[in-house]
This record gives sequence, C-alpha cells and structure tokens, in this order.
Amino acid sequence: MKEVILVSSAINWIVNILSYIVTALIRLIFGLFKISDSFLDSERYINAVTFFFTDTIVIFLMIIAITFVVSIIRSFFPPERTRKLLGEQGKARGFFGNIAGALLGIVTPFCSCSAVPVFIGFIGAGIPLGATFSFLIASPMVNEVAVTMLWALFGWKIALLYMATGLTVAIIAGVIIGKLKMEKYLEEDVCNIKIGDTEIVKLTWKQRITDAWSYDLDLLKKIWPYIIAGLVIGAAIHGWAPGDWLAKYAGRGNPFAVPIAVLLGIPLYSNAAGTLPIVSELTKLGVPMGTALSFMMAVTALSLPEMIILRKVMKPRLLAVFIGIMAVTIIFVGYLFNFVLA
Amino acid sequence: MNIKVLVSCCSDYGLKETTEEVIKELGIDATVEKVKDIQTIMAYGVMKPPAIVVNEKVKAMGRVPSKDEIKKYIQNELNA
Repeated sequence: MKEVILVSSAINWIVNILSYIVTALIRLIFGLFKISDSFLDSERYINAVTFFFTDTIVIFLMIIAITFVVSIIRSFFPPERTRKLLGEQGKARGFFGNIAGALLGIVTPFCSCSAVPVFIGFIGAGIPLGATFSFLIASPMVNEVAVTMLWALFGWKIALLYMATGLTVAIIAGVIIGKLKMEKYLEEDVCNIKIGDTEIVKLTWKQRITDAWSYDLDLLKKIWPYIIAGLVIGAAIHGWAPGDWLAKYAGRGNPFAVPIAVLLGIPLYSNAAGTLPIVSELTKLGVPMGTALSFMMAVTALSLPEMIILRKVMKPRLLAVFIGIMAVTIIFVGYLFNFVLA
Repeated sequence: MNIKVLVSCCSDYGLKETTEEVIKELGIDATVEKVKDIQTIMAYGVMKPPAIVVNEKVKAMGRVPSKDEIKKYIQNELNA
C-alpha cells in the first residue's frame, strides 16, 4: 500500500513539474508571437492547453510502465497453461471455478483472435461453461490500459475498485450462465475440435523482457490515436457540454440513469483508451462515478466485433443470454458504485 | 525438414518470410508452410498464435520468435 501511495505521489510531483515547464513554454510562445490577451483570454487557454499536454504525457508514461510490468507477469500465464491448471481433475468445479477463471482471465492477455481457440480449448479440456465464461468476461474487461488510465485520471482507489468490480461481474455472470445449463447452445464445432496436448515452451528472462517491451511499443502504436482523440473530445465536452441536460438525465436525480447509460453503451463500441478521457469529463460535469463507469464498461466490454467472433462458438440464444446477463450485472455494479461512493 | 508457421488474423508478423530467410542462410533443405486454419492450429495444442512448429514439435507459442531464435530451433532439430 505504501508503495502505491509513493508512486501516486511521485506521479503528482512529475505532473506538477511538467505543468510548470509546459506553462512556461506556452507563455513564452504566446509572448514571442505577441498573441493578444483580449483575443484568447490567455490564462484559461494556457491552463487548458497545459492540462492537455501534461495529461497526455502522464497517461503515456504510465501506460508504458504498467503495460511492461503486466506483460512480464502475463508471460507466466499463457492460456495453454491456464487450460491445464483449470482443467486438471475437475479443479474448476462450482463457484471456485468461476473465481479461478476470472482471476486467470485478468492475467491472460486478450486478443479477439484468440477468444475462439481459448473458448474451445477450455470446454474441450472439461472446464465448466460457467468458469469459461468468467474467464472470457474478465480477460478483456480488466486490461492494463483501462486500469492504467483509470489510475491516471481518477486515482489508484478507483482503479482498484474497477478491477474488483470487473472480477465481480465476471464471477456473477459466469455463475448465472453456468447455472442455466446452456451447454446445448454451443455450436457443434466446439465439441468436435480436437485440441492437441503440447509441452508449454519455457521462456528465458531475456525473452520475457524483449517480448514485454515489443508488446508495449505495439500497443502504444495502436492506441495513441484513440487516447488523443478521447482527450480532445473530452476537452470539447468540457467547453461545450450541456451540463444541465446531463445533470437532469444522468445525474443523481434520475434513478434510471444507470440502466439508460448501459443500454446506450451496448451498441457503441470503443476501447478503454478512447472512452476513459470522455468519461472523466462526464464525471467532472456531475455524472456520478457509478453511472459513468458502467457506461464505460458497457461500451468496452460488449462490442459488435467480439459478438461476431463469439457467434462462431455460440448459438444465438446463448449469445443473447450472454449479452443480457452482462448488461444486468453491469447495471447492478453501476448502482453499487454509486451507493458505495456517495 | 518440415516447418509450419501458425498464424491468425491479427498475428502474422511476416514469420513465414523470416523463416524462409533463415533456411536460405543455413542452406538446408526445408519446406515452410503458413497455417491459418484454427482446427489445425489447435491440433498442435496452441491456443494463441503465432507459433512455430519444426518437425511436428512446437518450438515457440504465443510470441514472435526472433530470427536468431528461429535459427536456433532449426539447428537444434538438425542436430537431434
């Protein structure tokens, strides 16, 4: 705990120094180009631009650092090993299976392309449907980018709370789906594909570090436009948002804010990197944290591309049940957050 | 020697081309196949491509091996 507070303080310290430097630079530039005060209301403008740059730099630095550490941890948990761990001698029975599935889901890197083989591989190894779903829900939801940006934008407590609720959603939804005994709604492929048994290749530390670093750079290359876009849209919301409208429909006064937010978020799709800066602005405008986060979860966890991929292994009814239960669980968690944080 | 490069939609990384370079440099006789079919990939016990299979043995899985690593895998099989 002390280490976390220390790191948070260090980050605050870095932000302050960066703000100072960037502000000084911007003043210099404004002065050099003789940008007139009356036109730009320079103080507010300087602040807005400063925050934009320092927020961006801090977010990128944190993503680089945390993704690296998480990737090293993940190198110890390839999905093939998780399959062996959970599949051994019915280890994943019952409630414990859902917890284990969700926890292992967090430490497994998620790629939409591997969702199908992982799903088939788990079922084929005898891992119960419920536990498999817990894994499949936790893995994309609790990802290092989401957690890092939550930490950067809202502090480490909210980031941890998000991880806890991601786990809770994964476990509860997995348990419910398991209890519904919907195995017969799996596509035939799932039961027919033979999964080979191979020795899991051991990695050296040099390989782990090289892999983590190249994954880090690849990730950055993929998400930087989304982060910038999110921050720019967030800044725009800051300037022009309909604060009253938001307060009336998404604020504390409306008891249906959470379900509306979730239902709005389901058809939308974005990744955490692009969504979180916008969510941050919404909370500054008075939208409660629970409502805002459940909106973010609905947007990022339930996506059309993922549904199309999952349709290969699930019949429509099971897919619909999956989406429905996820929505209900996220709504429940949204109310819980609002209650806990109030 | 038979080498298979197991890839998926989001993980190709030019592995087949790199492996072909290695074979050329080592001057050995080998075939390199690119496998995209999920059923075949899973038959090797691989759930997360990319992977490299040399003489039906999985040498790397879930990561992109470097050119030197691919060279080592092939040389180990030659000496086996």
